[in-house]
Amino acid sequence: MTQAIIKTVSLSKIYVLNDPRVQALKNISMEINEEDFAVISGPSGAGKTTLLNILGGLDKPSDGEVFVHDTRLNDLSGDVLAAFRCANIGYVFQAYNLISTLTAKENIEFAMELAGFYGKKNNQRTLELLKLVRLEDRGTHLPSQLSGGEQQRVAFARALANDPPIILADEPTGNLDEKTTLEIVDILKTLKENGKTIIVVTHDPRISELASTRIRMVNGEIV
Amino acid sequence: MVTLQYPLRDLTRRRAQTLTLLACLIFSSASATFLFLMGLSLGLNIAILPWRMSIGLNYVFSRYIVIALVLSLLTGALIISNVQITFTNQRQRDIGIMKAIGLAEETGSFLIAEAAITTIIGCSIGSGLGTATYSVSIKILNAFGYGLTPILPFIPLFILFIIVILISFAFTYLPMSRTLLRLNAIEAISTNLTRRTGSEGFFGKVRMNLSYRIALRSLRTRGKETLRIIAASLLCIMLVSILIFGGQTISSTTSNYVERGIGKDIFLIANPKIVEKYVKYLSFYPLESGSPVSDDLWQSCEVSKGFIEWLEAQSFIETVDTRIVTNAKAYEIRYIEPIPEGYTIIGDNRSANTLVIGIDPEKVASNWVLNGRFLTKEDQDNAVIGDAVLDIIYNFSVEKIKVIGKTFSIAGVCIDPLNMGYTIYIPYETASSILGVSNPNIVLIKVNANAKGEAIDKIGQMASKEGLAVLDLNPVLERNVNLVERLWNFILIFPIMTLISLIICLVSFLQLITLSRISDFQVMRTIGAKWKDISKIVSAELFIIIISSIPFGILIGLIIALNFLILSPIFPQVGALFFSFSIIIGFTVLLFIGSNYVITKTIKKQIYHG
Repeated sequence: MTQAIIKTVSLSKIYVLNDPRVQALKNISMEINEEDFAVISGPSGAGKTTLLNILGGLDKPSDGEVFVHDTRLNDLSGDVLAAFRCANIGYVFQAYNLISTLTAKENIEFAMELAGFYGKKNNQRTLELLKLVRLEDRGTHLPSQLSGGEQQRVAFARALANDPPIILADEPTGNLDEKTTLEIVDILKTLKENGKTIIVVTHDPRISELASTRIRMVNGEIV
Repeated sequence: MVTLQYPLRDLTRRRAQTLTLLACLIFSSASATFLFLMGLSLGLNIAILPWRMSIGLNYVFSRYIVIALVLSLLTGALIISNVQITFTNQRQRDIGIMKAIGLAEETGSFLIAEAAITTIIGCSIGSGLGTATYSVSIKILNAFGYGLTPILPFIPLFILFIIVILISFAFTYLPMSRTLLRLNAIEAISTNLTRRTGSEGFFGKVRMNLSYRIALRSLRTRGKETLRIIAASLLCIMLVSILIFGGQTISSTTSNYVERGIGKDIFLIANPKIVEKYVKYLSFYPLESGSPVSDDLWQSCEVSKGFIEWLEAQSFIETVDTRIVTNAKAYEIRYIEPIPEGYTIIGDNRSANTLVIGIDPEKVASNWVLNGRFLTKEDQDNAVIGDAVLDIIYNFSVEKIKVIGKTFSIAGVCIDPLNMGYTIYIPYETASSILGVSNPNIVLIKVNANAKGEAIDKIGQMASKEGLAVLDLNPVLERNVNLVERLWNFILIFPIMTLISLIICLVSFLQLITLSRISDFQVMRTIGAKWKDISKIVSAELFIIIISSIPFGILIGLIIALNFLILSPIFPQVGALFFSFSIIIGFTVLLFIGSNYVITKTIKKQIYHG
C-alpha cells in the first residue's frame, strides 16, 4: 500500500496587503501519495502557486497544518526548512530562476554543495544530469546565454541534483514553445518512471495526461 | 517637455535608490563644505593661534588640506557616479518602455529633472550639514583651548556650493544620460538584457571554498560592475593612505625643516639680553610684550675676536658660526622686463620688517631647506631670504631686495623658523661693511655630542669672563618640534569627517550592488541554501573586493604622499610607518566589518520579509 508523502489539514492562507484581505487558500485538506504524479490546475488567482509554495516550505500557512514525510513544516525555522528543502524537494519555477552569475554546471553543483556533497562525484553526477536534460555541451554557459527551454532544462537538472523524492514544478512550460514543451514533458515522464513524487501546477494537457492525481482549484478551494 | 511630477513620483517610488543617492550627495557635499571652512579657518586663524609659524610651514599644512579637499571631492564624485551607473543599469527596462511608448525627446528632460532634483536637495542638505558640523567642531575644539574664531564667509561658501552642485550634477546626470539616451527601446525591453559571457578562466580550475568560488565567479561575471566597486574601494583606501602617510611624512618633514633651521646640539653665545631676544625670535610661541631689540643693543654687544679664536681652537667644537644680526626694513625692488611690445613691470614697492643676518657661508651651523641655493664665499651682493619674505616678493628669481641701503639679488629662499621666516641672510663681510661693525654679536657653536657635558662647563666659564651668556638650543628645538607635531595632530582631525562620509557612500554603494542581486539570493534560499551559506557568499565577495583594493590603494597613496605633498620629504621612522600601516589595516578591517554587517542585515531582511 502506498503511503501519503504530503498531507495538508484545513490549510488556509490570507495575504494582508491592503484592505480588503485576500484569502488565497480556504480550508484545503489533501494527501499526495508516494510516487504520485499530481497535477494542480485552475484559473488564474485560484491559489495554485500559493499551495505549491506552502507544500514546498517556501511559504507558511495562516492556518492549518502541512506535513511532508510526517514532518510538520509549520514549526520549522527558516534555516531548517531550507535544509529540509535541500534534501527532500526539488523545485522548478515558471521563470526558471537560475542563479544569474553561475553557469549551468555551477547552478547544479551549487545545489549539491549546499547538501554537503563535494568532489569528483559531484562533477560526474552533474554531467549525468546535464546528459539527462540533453545539455551536456552547454554546461559552461551562463543562464543569459541559454534559451528559455534550455534554462528550464537546467532548472530540472538542478532540482534533481540531490536526488530528492519530491519534485514541485510551477507551470514549467508556461514560458516555452511547442518543441521545448515536449522536451520538458519527456523529462517529467522520465522522472515519473524513476519513482519520484511529482506535483505540477500546469494548464498543459500533455502534462495533465501523465497525472495519477488531478486537483482542480477555484477561488482558493479544491473543487 | 515633462512636468516635474513624473520625475518626482519616480524618485519617490524608487525610495531605496533615491535615499542611497541622496545619502552619497549629502555626505560628499557636507564633507567638502566642512573641509573648506576648516581650511579657511585654519588659514585665517593660524596667525592668532597660541603659536606662530612661518609662511612656509603654514603653506605645507594648507596644501595638505587642499589636497585632502580635492581628493575627497573626486572620490565622492566617483562614488556618486558609480551609484548612478548601478541605478541606471537597473532602470534600462523602464526607460526602454518609456521610449517604446513614444517618450523619446522627453526622456532627456526627464533625466535632467531627476538629476537636478536629487542634486539640489542632496547638496543643499549636505552644505547645511557641513556648516553645522563645522560650527559644532569649532566649539568643541575651542573647549579644548584651540582658540579658533568661527567664520562663515558667504561669497566663498556660495561659490563652493555652486561648484559642488555642478560637479555632483555632472556625475549624477552623465552616467544616466550616456546609457539611457542612447538606449535602444527594442534592446531594453528584450528579455535578454542581462549579462555577457564569463569564461571559467584560471579560477574555474582551482579548487577552493564554495563561498569563495561562487563569490569569485559572481564578481568575474559582473566584470565592469566589479571593477567599479574595486575602484571606489581603492580610492577610499588610497585617500586614507595619503592622509595617514602624508600626515606622517609632513609631520616628520616639517619637524626636520625646523631641526635643520635651528640646528641640533647648537649653543648660542651672546650678550645675555641678546640671548633672551634671540630665543624669542626662534620660538613659535608669542613674543612677550616689550620694546623690540634696538640697533644700539645689537651693535653694542659684540663678541670679542679673542673669544672666537678660543672657541675655534677647542676640539669639541665642530662649527663656530659667527653672525652679525640686526633688525631692518626690507624693500622689494620692482623689476622691469623688456618684451617685444615694450616692457613689463614685475613686482611692486612692498616692504617688511625683517631680521638681517650677516653670515659666513663657510661656517654655517644651520642647514635650511632651500629653494635655490645658499650663499657662497664669492657672493657679495646676493642674499638668501626666509620664506615669509616671499610675501613682499613677486618673483624672487628676477627681483631684487633692498635692505640697510644696499640692493641684493636673491640666491634662494629658505624655510626658516627664526622670526617666523622674516629673515634675510647676507654675506658676513657685506654686513660688516654696511653696518660698520667688525665683530659678530651672536655666535652659534655646534658641539660634538659626546663631549657635551665637558663643553658646557668649559665654554660657560670662559663666556662668563667675557660677560656673555651660553644657551643650549636643544630645548628650544624640542619645544618647536613638539608644537609642529601638535599642529599636525590638530589638522588630522579635519579629513576624518571626509573619511566617514566616504565610508558611508562606499557602504551604500556596496549595499546597492549586493541588493541588485537579491533575486539570486532568494533563489539560493529556495533551493535549500541556509542563511549562513548566503551570508558567507556575501562576505566572501566583500572580502575579495576589499583585499583587491588594499595593495594598490596603499601603494598609490604612499607614492602620492611621499612625492607630491611636500618638498624634500623625510620618510617617517619605522615605528611611525608601522603605526600608519596599523591604522590603514584597522580602517580596512572596520570597512569590511561595517559594510558586511549593514549589507548582510539588509539582505536578510529582504530575504525573510521582502
